[in-house]
Amino acid sequence: MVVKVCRLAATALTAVFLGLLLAASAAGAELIVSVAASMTDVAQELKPLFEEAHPGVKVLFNFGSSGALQRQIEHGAPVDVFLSAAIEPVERLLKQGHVVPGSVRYVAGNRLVLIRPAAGAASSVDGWTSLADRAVRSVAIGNPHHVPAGIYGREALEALGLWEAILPKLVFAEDVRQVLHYVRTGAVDAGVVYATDAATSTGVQVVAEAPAGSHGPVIYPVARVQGSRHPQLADAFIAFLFTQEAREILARYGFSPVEGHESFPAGSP
Amino acid sequence: MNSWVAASLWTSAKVSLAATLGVVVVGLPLAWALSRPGWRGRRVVDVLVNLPLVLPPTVIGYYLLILVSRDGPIGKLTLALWGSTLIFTTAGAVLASVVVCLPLFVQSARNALEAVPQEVREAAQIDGATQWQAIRYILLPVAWPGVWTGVILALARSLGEFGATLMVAGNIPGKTQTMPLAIYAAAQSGRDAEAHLLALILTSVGALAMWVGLRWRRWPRGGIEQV
Repeated sequence: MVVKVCRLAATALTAVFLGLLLAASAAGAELIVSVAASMTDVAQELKPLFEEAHPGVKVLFNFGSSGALQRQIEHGAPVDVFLSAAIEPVERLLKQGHVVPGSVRYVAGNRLVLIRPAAGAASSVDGWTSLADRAVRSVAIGNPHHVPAGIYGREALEALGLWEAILPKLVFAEDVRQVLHYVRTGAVDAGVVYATDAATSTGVQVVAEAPAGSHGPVIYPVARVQGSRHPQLADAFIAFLFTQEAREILARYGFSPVEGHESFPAGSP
Repeated sequence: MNSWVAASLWTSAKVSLAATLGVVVVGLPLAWALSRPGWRGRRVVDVLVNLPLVLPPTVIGYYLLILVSRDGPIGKLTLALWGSTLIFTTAGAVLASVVVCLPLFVQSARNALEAVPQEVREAAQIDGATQWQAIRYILLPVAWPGVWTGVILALARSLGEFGATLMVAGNIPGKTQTMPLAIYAAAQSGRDAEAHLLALILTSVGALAMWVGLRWRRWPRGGIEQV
């Protein structure tokens, strides 16, 4: 009986694997786009528009942090297009020859904003300088060592001359969503997030934008991955991101246009 | 209900069941071998099987990614066999889940097998049972509750598996996006209501699976009761 069970189990396992492989090979033209997690919503909204314009094409998104997506591509993941939340991962792939140099373009930018909880009227946070007030007890920001929003946040606070003063009040979060969560639930008095994050939540209120030039540019580059099985489609998808239609949707989600997005300065020939 | 939710539920069910099967097929011989004393390399195998408990799943995922990539040993094998790697496939998700869940099953099954009293085994031997008969009629029925608990633990853990799966299989809605990955995606994009709904469904599915599963902790055919 045990032999039978084991045999059955082995057969079932083989069947499952074979089924999965068959299912994978039977599909039509599938364009796999690795998308930074912060662009999840906007990507979902763009997908049907592109598919409508390209009948028979199915866009599959793979969502994750830009760093994880970069590593997958490095190790030969069958990705066609990479939409990153930072320039660095794309630069690294470019150096290793994993993305096509001429294909890199800047899709969108983002801005840092100061937010406070929407609920509870009596907030003493009314601008960047108010963060130094004694009434403001805690401020959440991404960990400035490795969370991009935290690195930019530190730059902005330093440019404003506030970093030293508010350092004891800072609460470091492991990603920008955690900052949003702390602020929305009132666990902290204020937080620093991207404009696009603030736009997703009704539980927070934008108090101020980071002054222009106070932090390095937040840029979302896109690139075609080397060895893509559908290079024309991949290029078409990248071009689609720059159509009027797509620009409007990106703007609605809080993304800002980037000057000089037509070329990629660093590392391109 | 959102089609996204349904798709991730289906993917989770497929991956978890296949992974649990895989865990049992690989883990039962391992547990049995580990429950036998005195062979060379036993401790090394023991440590290797349990290592995934120590490492964060994302790290396991990263190493698996290297193994299944074009240049890795598993990747070379699958490329030769099927012409593709396991990256971004449901089979990749199953593999990640098997590695993460294996120690839970092996620990539980091995403890159960070790707990079978030596006298019982000896009695079977004296009565002229072959080794296979001893396993089939004595060892398994007595050890069954522990073995089955291991199965349930593996299933429960694979339902919640996140880090390793994300790395190897990606997070592709409708293809490799399991429920935990869908929760992450929903929370990342601020769709909290959807994230809560998904978490509730995942909890219910897990609870139901355990509720049903734990009823089979007794060896089905009477025979020997717990010694």
